[in-house]
Amino acid sequence: MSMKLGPLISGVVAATALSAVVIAFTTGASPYVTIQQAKASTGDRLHLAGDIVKSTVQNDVYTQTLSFQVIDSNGDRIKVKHKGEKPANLSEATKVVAVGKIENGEFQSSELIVKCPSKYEAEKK
Amino acid sequence: MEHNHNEDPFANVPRAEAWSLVVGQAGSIAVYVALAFLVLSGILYLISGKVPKAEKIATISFVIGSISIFVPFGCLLALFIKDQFQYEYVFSHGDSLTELKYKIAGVWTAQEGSFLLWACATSLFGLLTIGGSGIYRRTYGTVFALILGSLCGILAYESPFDLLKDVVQKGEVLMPPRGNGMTPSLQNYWVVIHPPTIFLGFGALTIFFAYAVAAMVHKNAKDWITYCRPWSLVTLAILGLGLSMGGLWAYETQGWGGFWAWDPVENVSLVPWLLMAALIHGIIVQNVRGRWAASNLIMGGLPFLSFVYGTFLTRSGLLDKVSVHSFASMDRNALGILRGFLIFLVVGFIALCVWRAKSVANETVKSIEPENGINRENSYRFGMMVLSMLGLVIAVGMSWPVIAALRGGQGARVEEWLYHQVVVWFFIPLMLLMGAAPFVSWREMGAKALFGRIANVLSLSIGLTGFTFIGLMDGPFGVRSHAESTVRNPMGGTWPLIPVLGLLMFLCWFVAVTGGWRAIELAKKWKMSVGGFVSHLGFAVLIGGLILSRGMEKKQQSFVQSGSPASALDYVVSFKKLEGKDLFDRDSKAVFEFKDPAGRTFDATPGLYYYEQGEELKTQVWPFVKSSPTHDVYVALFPPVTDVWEMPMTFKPKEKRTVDQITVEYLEPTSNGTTGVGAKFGAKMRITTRTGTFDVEPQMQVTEGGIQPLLTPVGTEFFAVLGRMDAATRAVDLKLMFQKPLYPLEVFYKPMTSLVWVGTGILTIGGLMSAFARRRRHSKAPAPLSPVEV
Repeated sequence: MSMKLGPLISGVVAATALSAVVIAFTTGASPYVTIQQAKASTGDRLHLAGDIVKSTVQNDVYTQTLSFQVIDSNGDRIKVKHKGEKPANLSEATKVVAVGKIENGEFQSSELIVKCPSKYEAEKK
Repeated sequence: MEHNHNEDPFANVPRAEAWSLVVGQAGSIAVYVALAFLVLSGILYLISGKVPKAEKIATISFVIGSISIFVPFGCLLALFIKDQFQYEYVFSHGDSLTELKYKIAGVWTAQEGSFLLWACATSLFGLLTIGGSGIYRRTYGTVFALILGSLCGILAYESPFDLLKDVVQKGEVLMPPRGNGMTPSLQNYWVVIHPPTIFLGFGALTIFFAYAVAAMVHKNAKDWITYCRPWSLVTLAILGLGLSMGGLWAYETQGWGGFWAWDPVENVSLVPWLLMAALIHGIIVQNVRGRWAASNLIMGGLPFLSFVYGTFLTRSGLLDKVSVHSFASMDRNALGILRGFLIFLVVGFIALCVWRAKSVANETVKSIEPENGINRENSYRFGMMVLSMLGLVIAVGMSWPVIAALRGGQGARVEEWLYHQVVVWFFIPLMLLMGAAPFVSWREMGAKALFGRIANVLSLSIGLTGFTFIGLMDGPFGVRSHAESTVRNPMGGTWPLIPVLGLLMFLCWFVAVTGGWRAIELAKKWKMSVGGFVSHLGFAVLIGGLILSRGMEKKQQSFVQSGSPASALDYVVSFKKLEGKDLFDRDSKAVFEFKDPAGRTFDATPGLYYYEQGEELKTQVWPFVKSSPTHDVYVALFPPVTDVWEMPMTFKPKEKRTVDQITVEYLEPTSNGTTGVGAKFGAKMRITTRTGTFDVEPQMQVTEGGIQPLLTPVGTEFFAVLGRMDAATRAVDLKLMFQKPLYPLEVFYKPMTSLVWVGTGILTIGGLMSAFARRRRHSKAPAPLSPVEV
């Protein structure tokens, strides 16, 4: 009997641990959201992906605050505000993932992940 | 790449030399030759059970096929070194002006080349192991040949030998004089050494998969353990070194001040390492007690399968939103082969395990009756479980964007804090086991006896943890400065940082002391297992360095302008000068003086240079690290800001507008009356900034080289530059620039990063020591099946 005890305990522990991990990931993972979803969400690490509206990019020189509008896949628009150093390749970026939260109807971004198709490799023809 | 098709861009371009076309052809053809020989070899190995003569020919074609895989590698290398930019891959990643080492590294900087590197590493291990595969050769060869053949199939579609689209003109192949060059952010010595190292490790994973399959097919679960034991130790050491190199590379060049970001590409290489570590401990148990033969058969296949899965996941485009390593989309046929390969291997392996693992193990391995209670075998069982679970958890984490997307919505991403929060629950038992298990005997022992053996080590570890924190008590990044720092806890709240770090540091000390203790004990007796404990010590030192440098990190962002020092952490930072031949010089540095409260200064010299990509001028920056044994001061420079506004603003005459807190009134357009060369156009403007109101007249002048804007100072802070004037409406595009560029800096304190380097070294040396100790000695009898201490 004792011979089977080790594997049995192992199995129970493993199953419990794995379920806990799945719950942690389910509740904790930072969601990619649309603007509509972002407005309904209270999370502070929302990932908002969208196209930058180039003509709306503003950079406050004194406070180093960057702001621009983003259009998401549903065609909704929102103003994104980002304080801090701006991504090096923002000028050539078209798509951006802003990480942050909704505040006063604006998206306060703490991190901007810029996607440039050419950064690592040219697009395949 | 976009090319201008309006005129013939290759009008004055030289013709490619004949040899280069032959080399490219040879590279392409060699892939097919390798494929043919490997398929032949696989078939012959398969039938050699019935036709014994076939085995010899199978081995010959295996060797020819494997060697042939190095031919495209050599060809590509030659094309890179000799700047043959008519090839698209060389054009995109090579440059005639870069140093030789980057020309060599060009081979593996992109997708096609990294598959080639994987194939070469795999065939290298195929060649090294096929001769020693003994009774398993038939199946081992078949599996190996199948895997190598599949890689050749991928390479046939993902070929680095395609010519550029437009180079064939009227039957001749033109040769562009320059290539695009390797992405500047990759140009660092690590790109030369990290990919070959880690791919060597990935290539070696095939050995264990092929042996596990062969062991089940040949119904012998015993001998394969002996065959692959030394290779498993070599593989773990190489993979560990490769992983560490990747972390150090990121730290030295990426500018985010860390070693590990839980990026999918990093995780793909960590999972096989964890599973290999588990396998190695399973091998020990089977060797000593003849137990766990079935689970070892399963564990043998997992490191390789996890790597193939990870490769598929990262290359398939499924994680595009998440990874900073954005790979080009793969050729669809090649991706199809990779997907089919993955599914076939996984399904086949599971089926084989279900069918054979248990029965083969029971039939062929004589096991010793298990001990009860606390014993080494049970410790290893839990250790292997924790390692495998950790691998599984990380694999699930990196797949989470896909899993979440399948559940609806746009998916979700597991971020660093969540990984840490989850991983720590596996890390704690893992470290406790690593600390205690080396003192547990194979025979059952009571808890009291165990405690008696580890009491010294435990108290020493607690004491050393205390000393660590006393040593780190004061100072700008010390314990006191973290009195308010917290970490997220699983209940959604926070815990104070220092007690959490205290627990983690105790665990590291526990493992380090045990590792060192056992290594010294065994070294005195000249035992072979010293290397394993040296590895444990190295692992603890490495992890301790990672935990302290991240956990006690301090950072602050700052903007520095020439003449306007700014503060960052404890320093007053002032810009001194730019150093270098010119702005395009790759060794150019921006020099900043850092002055601490005591008035001591040092110069930080992050790299900064410009390069052209197409029409655009781009900036490359490198962080600066000032290392000392206790901490690094890490200075990340971001591209200097010269433009005040993100883009030029258009003003109509009489218009008054405030943009980004600067008010511009366009009073009237001006011109000096002439037309043609020498004509000047301007705009009288009243510009109000934080420092005052200025009447200025920025101008543009028609010169022989085109229309040139003139820089017009606005007070002492800005320049006004006219970009364009509309002839009809006289509307102008106005650009404001800083007279002195703004340097965004992020300054970090990273305590104890030296441990990361030291730990990497010890871990690697320990791994190689144990591999050397366990090398196969052909004259020796197999290991005894009796409970001996190791």
